[in-house]
Amino acid sequence: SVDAAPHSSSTTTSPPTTSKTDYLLQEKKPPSKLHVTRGRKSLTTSPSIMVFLEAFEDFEKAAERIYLNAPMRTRCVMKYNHSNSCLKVKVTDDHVCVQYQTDSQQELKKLEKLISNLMKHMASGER
Amino acid sequence: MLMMEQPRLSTDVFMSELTLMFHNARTHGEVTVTIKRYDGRTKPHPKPRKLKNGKMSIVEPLPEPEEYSCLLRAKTKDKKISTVVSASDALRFQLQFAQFLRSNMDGLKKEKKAKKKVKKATQ
Repeated sequence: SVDAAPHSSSTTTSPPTTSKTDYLLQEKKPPSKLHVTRGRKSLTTSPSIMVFLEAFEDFEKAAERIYLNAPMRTRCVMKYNHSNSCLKVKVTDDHVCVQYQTDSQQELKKLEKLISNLMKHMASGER
Repeated sequence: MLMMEQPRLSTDVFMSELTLMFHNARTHGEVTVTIKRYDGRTKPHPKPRKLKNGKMSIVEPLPEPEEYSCLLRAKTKDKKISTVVSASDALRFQLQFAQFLRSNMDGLKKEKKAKKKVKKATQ
């Protein structure tokens, strides 16, 4: 009689599968998105990965968090390039770094507010 | 090329020098402005050191400042300047600085969506 079942275990000659081989035989899952990809996460503890955040709100929250956590160590750096019409802003306490870049006049206003707030807090008496 | 270290400028001189920096960097180059909190210290934080009698020196931490200020630095390829903004000046300076940024960083693109809508409405 013809053996119609494709996965017949009665006439198998392959060795019994262990848990290790089970894992290998499983379908591979798609790669997890924990890695830092371009243009996404920029909040990282590794100083080598420096990428720009996409959303301004994320940048603003992260910047405030970094500053309030370590006000004496935090600095805000603005780099303006007129010929490329690009403004880059970085807030870092030498352990964590967040960056934002823009070419829009509208975003400049938001950044200017953020920087003004930081400056006001820095020169005040609060800790 | 050895660059002479510039003494710390007054806020007003700093702003005028900064304006000049931005003006000169319009064709090419970048201007970098750094803002940081400053506690007014003029000496580094003392470290415990080994004395000749084998003990460690007593470290008196620097006195806590009554008032914090804001340290501003600006840098281009050719020049570096810096200033300190005290708490009393902070409010006035921050308005001046915001105004300055808006007027000097004018190379950035403006939103054109509103203009397009107006054009369509009139057609």
